[in-house]
Amino acid sequence: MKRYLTVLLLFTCTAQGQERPLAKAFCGLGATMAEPYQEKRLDRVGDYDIVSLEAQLSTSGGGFYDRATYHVNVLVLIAIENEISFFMPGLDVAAVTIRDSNGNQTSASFRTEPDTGLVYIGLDIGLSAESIATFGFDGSLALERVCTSPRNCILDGDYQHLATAGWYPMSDTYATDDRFHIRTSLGEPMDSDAIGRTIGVTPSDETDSFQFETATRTYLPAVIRGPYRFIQGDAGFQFFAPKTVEAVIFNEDLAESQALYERLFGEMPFSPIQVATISDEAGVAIGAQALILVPAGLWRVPREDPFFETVLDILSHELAHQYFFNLVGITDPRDGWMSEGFAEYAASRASEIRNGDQQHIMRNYWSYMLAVDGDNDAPIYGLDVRESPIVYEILYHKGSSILEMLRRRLGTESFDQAILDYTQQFANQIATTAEFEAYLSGQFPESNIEDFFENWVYRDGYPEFTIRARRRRLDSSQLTVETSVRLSAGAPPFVLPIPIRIVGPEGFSRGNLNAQLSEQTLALDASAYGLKIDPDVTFFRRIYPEPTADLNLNGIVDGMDLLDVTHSANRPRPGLGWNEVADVNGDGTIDTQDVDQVIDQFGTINAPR
Amino acid sequence: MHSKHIIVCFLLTLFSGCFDRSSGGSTAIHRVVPNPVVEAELATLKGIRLPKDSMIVIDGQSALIERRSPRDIAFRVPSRVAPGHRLLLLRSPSLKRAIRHPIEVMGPHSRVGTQPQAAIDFGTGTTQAQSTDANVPEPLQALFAADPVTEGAVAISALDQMAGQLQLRISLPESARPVWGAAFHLLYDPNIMVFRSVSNKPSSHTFQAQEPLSGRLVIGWVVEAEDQGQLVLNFDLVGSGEARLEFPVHHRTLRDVDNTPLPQVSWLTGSVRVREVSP
Repeated sequence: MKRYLTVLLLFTCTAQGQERPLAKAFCGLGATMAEPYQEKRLDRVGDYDIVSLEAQLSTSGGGFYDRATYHVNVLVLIAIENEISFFMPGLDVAAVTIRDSNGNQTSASFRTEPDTGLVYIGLDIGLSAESIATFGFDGSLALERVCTSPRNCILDGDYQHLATAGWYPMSDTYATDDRFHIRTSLGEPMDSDAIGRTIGVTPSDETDSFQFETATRTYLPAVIRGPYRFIQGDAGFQFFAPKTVEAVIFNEDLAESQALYERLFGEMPFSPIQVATISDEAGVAIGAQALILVPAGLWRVPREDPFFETVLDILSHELAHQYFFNLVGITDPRDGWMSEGFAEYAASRASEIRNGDQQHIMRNYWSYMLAVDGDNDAPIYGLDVRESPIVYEILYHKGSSILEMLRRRLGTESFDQAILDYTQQFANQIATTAEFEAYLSGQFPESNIEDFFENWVYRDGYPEFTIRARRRRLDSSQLTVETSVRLSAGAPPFVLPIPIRIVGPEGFSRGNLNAQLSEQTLALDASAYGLKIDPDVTFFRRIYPEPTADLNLNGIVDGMDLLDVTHSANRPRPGLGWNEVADVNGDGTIDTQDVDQVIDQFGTINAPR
Repeated sequence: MHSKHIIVCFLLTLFSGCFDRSSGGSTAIHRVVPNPVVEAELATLKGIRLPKDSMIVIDGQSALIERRSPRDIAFRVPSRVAPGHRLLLLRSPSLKRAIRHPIEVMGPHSRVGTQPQAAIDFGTGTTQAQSTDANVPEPLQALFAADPVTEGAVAISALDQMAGQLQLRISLPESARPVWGAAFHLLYDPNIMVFRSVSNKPSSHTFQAQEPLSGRLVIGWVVEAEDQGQLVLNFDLVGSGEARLEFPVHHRTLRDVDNTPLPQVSWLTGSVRVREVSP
């Protein structure tokens, strides 16, 4: 007989673009919370605060959970006379009870609005300010509204899960040490062979192992179950692997990522971290609170398979969600990058330690840059990004690149310290983009953080520079650089200097081009032979030499350009070491066609004007 | 096989001065006279194995061809070509790729006052009294005096000479970091010599040699083992005189396998003296 393991967990889903139906569905677990897609702070309710929530799931026919009972304790902030509303679109409510602070319980009348997910409860006796009341909801889970995609739920087969996006039950009236308390329990005995055991964080002295408690402001419930093999891993990890998996190949790497994160972001906020299997059909990994959900196929990728590095990237990303979303809560949908961009940035740092290079982050950078066309970009902050066909490239890849750029500008040591302090300062709280910006501005008052955010967070696009270099005499050390900037119609100019390197046989010297000037003259070092525009990629931009094969921007297409494009063809795909100007024909790869372009233009000289 | 051919040719070049593949069977442009050419006036392209159906294009405009032979094409410079340095393209269905040659175009009122000694207008006869061929200049001979060679330097040396030609060998230094690629410009006096070909390296994705301006040869070279770190350049002598060769400092580099510049490389050249030889 199959031995199933039932898992109760809290998580953050990696699929930001898919969160809306999930969030609507399962916010019903917590009730009362403001619709998370409204443009306002969601941790402030208004009329009342939720003090605690208990949710009990059960099954009516032995299958997956389909019923739920919630008890929601609220602190009434102002007197409420006739009616109180809760947001709980994930539950088809059948009955409501009210228990006052004296323990008197009565049935209550209610009406629901399926379109909004709101439940309105009639109050025969009003609620006075500063009073405590407990609302009981009984009903069936609205699975048809939850299960809009395999990533949201798979209710049959070996590995079953029911997952939601977050809801955010907190108020600002409580001290950090007295956070909102959530307890969820399952309606089966712990030792049931048919169901298995619960995984999740439970206090050691807790007798009911089916309960999960959290004190953080961001809460993401889900339920999973399946025939797992339990493996106690190193560094405190607990694995609930597929039955056919004998050993966890990625345990050591995951432990390394955890060690790095504890150095970068502080002590791992949840322990133990459990890693459990879900169906491949889900097509997504999930970084939950104290739990990472991994599709079954990823457990079986051998270390020698090139895809194994991708598995590690995925796990590192999900592990980072312990900090970004679960510890530092993100509630405003406009701030999605603060969860996914941060987690992806953390994963890139883990990759950097593991591989000794920045392949991961540079792959992210170019993934975004090359995905953008004139119509599909959107500011990373805001709601429009969710409608973009490249939402993943924007939130994850641009988001992580933004943080990497800040790291390069501010210095690794300073930036790491700032992010550590930020994480600790906002632990168990909700953070917003504006708060992050203000925090960095305070830490780095001389670094024009506001301009940086204005350019790369609050607006879309990036400048495209056409650069034409020329000399009055071809062997002169005076190089004149003409710069023109392409922007979409009506877009304001980007206010930024353009870092350059003047390159020669002995190395390079640094300088800046003024993007506001259409023409400027540089004095080359004695033996310098060309320019590189911002090779450290400290801002988003594309460079188009004129002629297109003048890779080193020295006014002539010659042998140096041939060497550069030939050498770059060894790294044909965008990523670390990818030389954007060597992609002469702009098709996203560097190959013999680009070499042909250099040959066709070989000897072309930009004549002085 | 391609690489085998290169090796054989290279070895022959070292000891007997064989011609490169282009001179052995391919079309090549040697020069255009006069240079600068004058807008709307006659000029002559000189070369070898010039296809019968070839076209001449300057700055995107076709030139009217007045007369042609396998070694000469007389053409009229298009009248709407803007003055300045331009590329002349020789095109033909039989050519895989257009052959390019740098020229300078002058306006109709800027007739060249003095022409290079070897520039002989088609059909106008010769001023060389002892010439046996109206299209061939007086035999010229070159003497190359190399800078003192030091270790770790790019150096130039001359090979055995034939009358009217100069063969120069450019040698890369041997160093702890092997040279993966070399790129440089070579400057010379176009009044005494013009570039014709490279003996041991055909044009390819890893080697290019072009003369974008008179007196300036531009080389890009991904060094392969069979190259043995050497190039053999062929020049035609076109006039007497003396001038130094130069590798201009902003346009020369040696790269290691990471495409990182090799520092502290000396680039040695020398002087070319061309004189007329009595028959």
